Amino acid sequence: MGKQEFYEALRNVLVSRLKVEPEKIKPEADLFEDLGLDSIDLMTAVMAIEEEFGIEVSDKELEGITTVGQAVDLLSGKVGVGA
Amino acid sequence: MSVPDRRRVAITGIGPVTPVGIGVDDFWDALVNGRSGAGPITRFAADDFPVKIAAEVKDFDIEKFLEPRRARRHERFSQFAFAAAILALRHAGLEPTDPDPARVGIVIGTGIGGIALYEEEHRAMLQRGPRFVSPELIAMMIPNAAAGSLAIELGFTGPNECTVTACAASGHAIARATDWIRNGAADVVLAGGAEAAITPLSLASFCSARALSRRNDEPTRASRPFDADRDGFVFGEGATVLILEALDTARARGARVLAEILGYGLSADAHHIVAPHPEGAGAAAAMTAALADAGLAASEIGYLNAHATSTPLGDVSEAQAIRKVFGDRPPPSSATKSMTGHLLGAAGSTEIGATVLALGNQLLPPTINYETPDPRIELDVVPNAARAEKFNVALSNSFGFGGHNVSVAVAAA
Repeated sequence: MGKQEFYEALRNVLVSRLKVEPEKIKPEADLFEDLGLDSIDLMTAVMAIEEEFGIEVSDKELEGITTVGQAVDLLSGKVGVGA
Repeated sequence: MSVPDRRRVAITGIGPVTPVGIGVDDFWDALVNGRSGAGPITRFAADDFPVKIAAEVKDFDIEKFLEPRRARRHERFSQFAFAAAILALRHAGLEPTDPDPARVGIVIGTGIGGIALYEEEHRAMLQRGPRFVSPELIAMMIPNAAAGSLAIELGFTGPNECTVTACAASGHAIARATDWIRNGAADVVLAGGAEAAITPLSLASFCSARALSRRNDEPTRASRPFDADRDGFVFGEGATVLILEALDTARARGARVLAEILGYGLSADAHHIVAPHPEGAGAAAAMTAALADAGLAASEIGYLNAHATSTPLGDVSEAQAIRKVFGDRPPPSSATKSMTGHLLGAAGSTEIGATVLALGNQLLPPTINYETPDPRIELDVVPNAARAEKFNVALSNSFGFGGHNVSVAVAAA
């Protein structure tokens, strides 16, 4: 599973579940400032990815995540991409 | 007993989101033409249920009223409430930015709240585990979510509340709003009810309680209040929000006043959690209290919009209550639920809305599917066809599980 796959999965959740406008989603986009999410939205998105890929992310790991790219790095790191 | 210096209460807008139509024009057109909103259940597969019909809101698209990012934060019943509020504000000729937000109150009743989301998330927990329950579940399902969400979306910071009295909930909401305007707590109130409870779990419970009509093959003929062959109510959903305003401030802004709320009456059956009082004592007390609050004699009432759900016991009890209050000359009494089905917590405001439209048009909506008189119901039910009628004052009744009764008196503007 590559980063691209996580990016697509996250993008899909943001658009279909959280109704974010697709054109706003880019790796450098700020989840809160640019996409208008709040902490509950982020939890909802992460839960959907956790379920889809069978991974688990702790609250502590989520701290400091502000961009789409950082979120993808965190999620993809959970399955040892490139290892 | 009337208080001379209390402020008078006008109704200036009606926003219906109902199984027979969305918006005043479609809603009223259906009622005067006797069109039923009942049909086969489409929201889920109801094959295993003894009841397979309901009155669902058709073609509802919240994104016509609210941008998708915000809409997804609201459970279906809150979405109904929001759409109804927008329609009511438009009907009243009010932009959300017009009134002083601190002088605008909101009271939205509901019987059950966000049970659809509750069922979905409960399933997620049982099937996938507690980690997969949405963090938004509680915030979206609580019965007061609709009233709170409306304030958040519209910015109105006046009194904000939720009445939860089952099928009397939006009757109580109108009573509450009337108080706020009378006592000066608000100049404008968005008042009504919302319900979106057509789900497997609620349907199963109503089926077990034998509360619903089983006329699955003839859904549009299933809700037949007062008819001798009625066999239960038709499960409905929707919302209606009314705009209540102080008559003086409404006139000052040049508003079109649709009707005036003259008074209301409240009571409890103190009898049984779901069965109505056999002689309708509580219902009669509520109607009598409404007349007293309005300073009216029973003979002044020209039309009564009955609660009449189409259940074998409830309709007889209400008919007896009406006879108790009005004696041998009861006003014409029709049942909107014959067309809309039973909107539970949204029924009261929907039917007060219908009553206001009846007053404005001097036209009584019918009780459809009335074929065989029930000898225990001695009422003119305006059978099957709308009827032109000159009248100035009407009552609208709402009763709920728990034994709660509300009756509201409205007069032509």
